Amino acid sequence: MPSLDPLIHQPVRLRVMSALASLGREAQVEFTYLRDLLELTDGNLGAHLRRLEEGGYVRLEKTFVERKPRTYVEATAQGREAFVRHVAALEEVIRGIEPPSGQGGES
Amino acid sequence: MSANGLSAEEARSALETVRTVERQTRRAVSLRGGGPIVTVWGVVWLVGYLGSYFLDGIAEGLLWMLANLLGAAATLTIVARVARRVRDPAAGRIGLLWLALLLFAAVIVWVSWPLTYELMGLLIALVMMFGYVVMGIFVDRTFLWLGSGVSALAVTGYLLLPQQFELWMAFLGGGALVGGGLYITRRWR
Repeated sequence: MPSLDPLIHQPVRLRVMSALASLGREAQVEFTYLRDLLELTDGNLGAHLRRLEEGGYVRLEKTFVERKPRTYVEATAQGREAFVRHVAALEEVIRGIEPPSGQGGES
Repeated sequence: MSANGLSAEEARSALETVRTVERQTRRAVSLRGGGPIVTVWGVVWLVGYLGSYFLDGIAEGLLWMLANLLGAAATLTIVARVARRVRDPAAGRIGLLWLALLLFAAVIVWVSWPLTYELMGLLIALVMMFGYVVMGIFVDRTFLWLGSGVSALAVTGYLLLPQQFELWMAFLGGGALVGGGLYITRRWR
């Protein structure tokens, strides 16, 4: 039975993972693009991305494009699987089936 | 209330957030640059068809060639700019769709030759608008209405006002693309 994942369940991180998981498997988005898309501040998005990165759910790649520093973000395979499990757990709560508590992180 | 302290209502709300963000992200990524590109091609049609109405022969052909080259250059610039923000190997499929449509338009014109310039313009417009309809089915309905509407306008102008076809296409076809492009840009800013 899928379990709710406390690391993903936090509202901002849920939105971040929803955005990243909806893209193709090898797709990467620039940090500022994700910030604008989700209407977050640099600091807020950065803090939540660090938490997700520590959990192994996203990967950050810092690079230079035309001599300007850019950070690209992508969901890892582990992050995608955790997100799918979390969404399945939410669906089970709605259906009235009791999901077990998650083991993956903190809220 | 579940063992996690989550009620069905809270789970429903979280799931709604997930679906909304997924939908917005897919649309934003698919449409990035779409509005400005549509606007650019609307201007190309406006200038090209006005040229066809007022110019003849080589001057008309040169104007169309120049407008198309500038349109292609502007499109590539926009695509390169947005591709820096989202690196998605699957995004190339939309580019391939347009490349395929261009090839099909060229083949249709080639096998149908000789054609009047009006009929050639109509055929190319219809093939390109088919691309908008496909985008509308898979990405965003605005493209569907734009593609079907401009196609209907083009056929109506060709059948009912053949003498004024270029003016019709410049202002109604080009104008609709400019308007539609600006609308998409504003909506998906």
